[in-house]
Amino acid sequence: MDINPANFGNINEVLADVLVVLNDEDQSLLTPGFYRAQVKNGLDELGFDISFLEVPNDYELPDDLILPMPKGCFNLKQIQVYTGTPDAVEYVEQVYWKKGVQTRGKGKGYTSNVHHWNVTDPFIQVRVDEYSMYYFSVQNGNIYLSDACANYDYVKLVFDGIPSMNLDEVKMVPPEVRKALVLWVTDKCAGALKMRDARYRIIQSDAASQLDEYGVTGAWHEAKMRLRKLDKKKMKDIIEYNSKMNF
Amino acid sequence: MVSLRLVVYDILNDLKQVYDDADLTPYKVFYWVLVHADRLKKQHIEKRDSGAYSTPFILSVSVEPDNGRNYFTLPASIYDIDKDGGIDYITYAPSIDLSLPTFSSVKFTRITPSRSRRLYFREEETPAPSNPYFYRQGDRIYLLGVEQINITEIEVALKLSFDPTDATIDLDDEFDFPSDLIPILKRQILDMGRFVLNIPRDAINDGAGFDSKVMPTQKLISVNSPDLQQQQIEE
Repeated sequence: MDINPANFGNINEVLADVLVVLNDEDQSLLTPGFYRAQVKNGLDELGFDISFLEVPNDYELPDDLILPMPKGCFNLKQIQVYTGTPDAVEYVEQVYWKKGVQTRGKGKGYTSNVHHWNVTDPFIQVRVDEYSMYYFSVQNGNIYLSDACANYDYVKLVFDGIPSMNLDEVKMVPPEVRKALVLWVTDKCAGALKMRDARYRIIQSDAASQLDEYGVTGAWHEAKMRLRKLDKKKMKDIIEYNSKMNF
Repeated sequence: MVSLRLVVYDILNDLKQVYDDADLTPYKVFYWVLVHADRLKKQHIEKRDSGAYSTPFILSVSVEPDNGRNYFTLPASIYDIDKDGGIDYITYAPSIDLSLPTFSSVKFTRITPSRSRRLYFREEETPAPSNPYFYRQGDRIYLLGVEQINITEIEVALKLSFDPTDATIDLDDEFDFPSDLIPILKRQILDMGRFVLNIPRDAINDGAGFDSKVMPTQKLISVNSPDLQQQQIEE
């Protein structure tokens, strides 16, 4: 489901529920920062479990064709290079991932199991025009683009963002997952408090059972299903496309 | 609301009823009242979730020239309740223009120097002007996280204790003590007063402490002495 950032809530909306449950409204048992961190951790966990925060970004093509992996990116989904500017995109080329490439950068060649000059391998032989090979590899957190990409101006990356690194605290919590987050934070904070007071063990246990993080009968699974569900409009259109078979 | 004078003289008069020649001064009873009232009031505050004995102050903040640490000095003695509970809250001075009261917006979180290290392990808990901390050392309260800003004033609410050595206490001021505990206070002081006033009489070495009729006149012999038992058998 496409989520609407305008509906996002802030961390305090989650904590408003959690603090009452934990009987720590003055935040004296745990620090305010500890509580905020748990909300972010919960949101990140959810983000790792299901892609709900797609981040597109345009970067000027670096001269050495080495692009540092953006901060907050954990799952690359698309790479394109294009000419023009982000506001006036002209020619676009899809960039593919080439397996096993090791390179030191632009003009320094590369190694890989399947190399485009290799015509003597008895099993795999490839002959491709190197000037039309738009590919990338990832080494040490950097995206290495192939030499052919140098003719373009910009590179567009689309990736799944780690929520806590891409969202502002003021607008961070999708309402679809608020219930799961309240339980998640309650679980973690009660777990942190149970050494001080054994009564928190019961609160933690209650929250964990309602959350059911690793099962399919709790709020965690419900939140994932809400985010995964296709928008009605998209679903109807896909049915229509499939029925016409002329998309 | 009763005054301290009323309580002091009430107890003094009661003690004088029995010990009319005792050397009891109002100041002595005043001291007893404050000592016992301190204990009872502390227990009362610990037991009840109430703002009745929370007193707000606006205090100036100083900087230690040697190390740059921000601190303010407690303006009066406070109760040493667990986890520095004698400090109700610390927040920025209300002169900072916020839409919320400052204590609802930013509250200094209590920490100890030895526990403060963990705070710097992650960004969310790191002390900062928006997430400040405090710790107590003696009568000084140190502020953590405001080193980079020029903080001159602070609002603090304290749970004040009585200070019997405070020469400025006025007997005619309002006695800041729960009125429902005054009977208990009075009873405790009377008990202690009677106990104290009894001690000198017994301790005087004038030979009159014992009645001569009950003084032993012969060597004390145990009833379980084998000699005595043998003697009884023979009889």
